[in-house]
Amino acid sequence: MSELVYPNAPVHTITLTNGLQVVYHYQPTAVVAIEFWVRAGAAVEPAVYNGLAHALEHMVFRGSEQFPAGAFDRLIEQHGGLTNAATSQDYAHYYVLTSLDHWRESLMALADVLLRPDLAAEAWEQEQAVIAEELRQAQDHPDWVGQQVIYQHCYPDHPYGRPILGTDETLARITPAVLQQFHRQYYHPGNMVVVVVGAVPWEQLLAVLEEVCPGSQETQATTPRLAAPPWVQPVYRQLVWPQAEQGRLWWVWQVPETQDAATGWGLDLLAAILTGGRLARLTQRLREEWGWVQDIDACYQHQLAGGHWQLTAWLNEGVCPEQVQEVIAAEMLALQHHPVSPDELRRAKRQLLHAYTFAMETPQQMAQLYGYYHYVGWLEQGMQYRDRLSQFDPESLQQLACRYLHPEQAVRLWLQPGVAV
Amino acid sequence: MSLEVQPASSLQGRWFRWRLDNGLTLVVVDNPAADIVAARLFLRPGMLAELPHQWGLNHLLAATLTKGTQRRSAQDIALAVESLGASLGTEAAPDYFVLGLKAVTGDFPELFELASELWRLPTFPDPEVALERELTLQNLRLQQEQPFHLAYDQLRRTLYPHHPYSVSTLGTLESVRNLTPEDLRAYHQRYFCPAHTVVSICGRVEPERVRAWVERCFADWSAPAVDWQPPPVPTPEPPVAPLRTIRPTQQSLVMLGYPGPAVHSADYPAMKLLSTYLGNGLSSRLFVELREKQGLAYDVSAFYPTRWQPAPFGVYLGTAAANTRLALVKLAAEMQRLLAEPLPEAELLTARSKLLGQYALGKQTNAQIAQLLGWYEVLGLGADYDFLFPQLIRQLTPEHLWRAAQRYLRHPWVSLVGPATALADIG
Repeated sequence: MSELVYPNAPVHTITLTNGLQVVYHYQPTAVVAIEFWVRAGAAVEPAVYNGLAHALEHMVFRGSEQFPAGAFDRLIEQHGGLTNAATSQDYAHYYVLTSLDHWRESLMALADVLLRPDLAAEAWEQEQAVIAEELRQAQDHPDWVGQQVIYQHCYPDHPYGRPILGTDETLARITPAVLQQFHRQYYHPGNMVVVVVGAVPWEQLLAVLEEVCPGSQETQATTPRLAAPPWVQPVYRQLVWPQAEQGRLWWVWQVPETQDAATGWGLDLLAAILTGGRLARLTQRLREEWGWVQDIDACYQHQLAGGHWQLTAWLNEGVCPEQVQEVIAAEMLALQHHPVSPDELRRAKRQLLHAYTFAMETPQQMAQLYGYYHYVGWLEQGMQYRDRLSQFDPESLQQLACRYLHPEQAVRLWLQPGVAV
Repeated sequence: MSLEVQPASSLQGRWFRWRLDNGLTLVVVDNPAADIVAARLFLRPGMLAELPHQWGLNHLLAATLTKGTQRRSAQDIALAVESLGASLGTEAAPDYFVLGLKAVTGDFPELFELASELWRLPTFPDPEVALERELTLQNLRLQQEQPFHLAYDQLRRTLYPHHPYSVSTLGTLESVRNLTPEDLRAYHQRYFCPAHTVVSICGRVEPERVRAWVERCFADWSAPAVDWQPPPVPTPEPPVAPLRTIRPTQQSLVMLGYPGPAVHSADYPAMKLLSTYLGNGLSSRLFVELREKQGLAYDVSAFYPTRWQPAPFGVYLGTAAANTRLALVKLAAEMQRLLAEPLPEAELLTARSKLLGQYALGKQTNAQIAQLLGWYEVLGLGADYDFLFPQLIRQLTPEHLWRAAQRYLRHPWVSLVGPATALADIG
């Protein structure tokens, strides 16, 4: 077992004989956070069954033999707990939040529905209708629509360019047999990480995990490494969307796969310098000085096979997107030509450091952070977050901007509001 | 100055409450769990003080309070906050106005001093008000994109005609266009006074030291208390035909709304529990029946906000346009079931545990705790209500819920948003 010293207490990691990876942090709170991260994100599903990983995440909540329809939800919620899940391109992520009295049965139940879901035909038929509604609801949101279009153009010919929810056609092809096959392939202990944060004794936790996930590691395959997305030519797309009341602008840059967590943190600093607060460069000019945008936001999204750095702006009525794009281009270029000022950098660092403190207040927040970092292989680097962040100087940020964020390399989309019919 | 100590609070630490000599209320919770202090400065009465031609005033006030004081420019204020890496935000709510801040413990006194300056000496510079007014108008247009918002909006307009609860805190296009910096200054002068202010602070702090900080910033403040009456609450009859908004959406939004009770009503806990029973979580009645069993929706839920005056109660779902009528029939049938007879005891017990468990989970961060206790003070319930509320919930029986349903849920307001073809044949 290895022990890593995080700010408040040690984080323990261990791999059980069945291959299950465990991340554990003792925290003397009345609440226990339990999470499972499964290497079964949308990116590994076959293209013809696009939406499969997300569909399986829904079906897990349809229960197992031991916890038939609704029994799992009831068990968690009747003790005042919470449970839910999310699917990304790289992983499926399940969580339970419960009181200390109920951690054991909650963990056992979650493990059971994850490892032994029913995946019955009738339940799938019902759940298909629910997912169809989820898709319709998403299609009624211009932000979601634009985001899907930008992914298509940012990751052409790569799974990251596909919608996680799937499409009506691909969802119709999914059968219980397809769900079972995907589950057999990826939902086994050797392909999972469990994270527990709370006042749970370590020995008891191990005993429970051995009980619910018995056996030794079988020959089951783990998730294959995904090929890196092909490099993409800069492109500018326009989309007229009658349901939108407001225009949106996206600028996105691919960020190739990196093993170095600090690259991501540097890109976070650049995002903070541009849009993190009223004094940030783009917010200051586009919102505060000229009132051209309702909001503008930059963020770096890490993904295992290659992430992206994204700017999104919500434009006010009558504002020409070209005006806004000129400002964005000028600010992106300025980051390459001139080092940021020491004051700006100091503010951005302080903002990120405190955001990190604020984001570690509850067991659930901690579990999510440890789980994510462990999942992407950065748990150890994550320990050094404060030190590493403080090492960034104006020159190193300038290098990052030159390397990743050239304005002429951006994949861009303008979603234009149209006349409603 | 008077001091009360709450001996056995349901909160982790004890909370303390003082009333300063000028009438300002201070609540402090010592919670050493994290190196963070959160504070909330509340002002009574929020939107309830707005006349129809001023709707949105508190929102505009929130957007511009941080944009200039007698001592600092908007730039200076942003620099002070962002240099500390702190968070400071303002928000208008139906029943209160709030300024929230959060910092690591060492930075807190400096940030709180800035907050008190914003609270007492804002100037509402003309260009900043003009900018934020334009952005608010844009935001109002943006709200029109969301089917839920459209359904909720037409519901509350008919539930609360001429009352502030009839509109979003942003106001309306008409009211916001006419708001001026003078309106904000006059409102600030009239309503911002110690007697209407509640300061709630939670974090790794010594309560006595916090009191000293707060006194340093506020003890010399002596604006007179304002004479204010809440607006009359309308009691309209349900409309004979469903409310409709036509939109070319994929889904229809189907909503049933009712005039529910205020937080001070004896029926408030029962209605909270009914709302949880119907729409909170994966095991809730509507989720299981309409989503899991019938596949009619992805999003299906209930709402019943905690309000000083009678609050709207509602249930809703988003469904394929072709299923609009079916969804309406099924949703109405679920509401009828509540009227027919008392719920089985076991169902009530599950809902009760869920409500109480989630109530406890809602008090994990310092900001959540400061918000909850300060809000209870502003509503006139007192911070003690945090202790009382779970007890009231535990006392409820199926008969209580049945009687509350009989009283409030007999006649629904039907609110629909969706494509013309889907809404045309529903009368």
